[in-house]
Amino acid sequence: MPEALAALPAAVEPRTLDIRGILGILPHRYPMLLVDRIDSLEPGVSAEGIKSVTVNEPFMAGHFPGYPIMPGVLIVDALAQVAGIMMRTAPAPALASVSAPPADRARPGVLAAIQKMRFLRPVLPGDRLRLQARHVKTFGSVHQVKVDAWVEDVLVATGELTLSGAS
Amino acid sequence: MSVANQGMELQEIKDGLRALIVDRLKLDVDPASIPDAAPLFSAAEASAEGGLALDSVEALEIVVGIEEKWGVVIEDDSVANEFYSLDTLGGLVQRLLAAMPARPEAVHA
Repeated sequence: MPEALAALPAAVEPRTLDIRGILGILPHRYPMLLVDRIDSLEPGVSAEGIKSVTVNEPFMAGHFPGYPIMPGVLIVDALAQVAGIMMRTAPAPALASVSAPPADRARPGVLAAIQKMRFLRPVLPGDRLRLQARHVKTFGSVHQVKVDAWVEDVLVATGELTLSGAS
Repeated sequence: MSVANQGMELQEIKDGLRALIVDRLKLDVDPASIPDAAPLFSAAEASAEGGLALDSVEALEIVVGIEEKWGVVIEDDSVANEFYSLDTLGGLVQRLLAAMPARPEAVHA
């Protein structure tokens, strides 16, 4: 039915965010801000960003001495941060924004569950993580998101995250 | 073919929900042991009546499971009141199935 397809509204122009834009949306700061740039953003629907991994990351000193690899849980948090940007920029913000009134700052949206997470390859200094999040379903203030992390064209981590807006 | 949808009996739906809940939430309980009328979510009431004391993250998992299993859409949390017991949840699924447009082929779970 080409007529029906043509009648659909045009897709929202994908947005991008530099680090200053990210700092205005996420409350995370050093050493826990784990996304450097957003290359594609459809608020409430999907987002893709990058995290450049270097040997100077504070966690590399201890994880592990002589064999620096990015901890899997931090890959998860990097993915959750991209998912957070996706949900915070949604038309009716599902997660409180940084500029919200002080009462909301205590509950900026948190990770509520990690499901089916798989870590497929070690992430090493010099790798550029490509972080993808896609909204699956929202019920109340709880949001399920599918996430994938890539290094070049190799899938390094994949799973599902649940974000909670407030509790 | 409305008979096909009507044929989805409440009991059949509730048994499907039992299996879905235990499977998706990886619960260590016998599906048949979950009472029809027990509160699924409220911890205080559930413990007294044999319920499961599920939380909001698990509710969302059930929403996704229902949509995948029956091909229906739960638009938002306006139906949250029906996330109470197998009886009320089964009624919700039955109503969503009945409201679905007729399809050329049946949905197989």
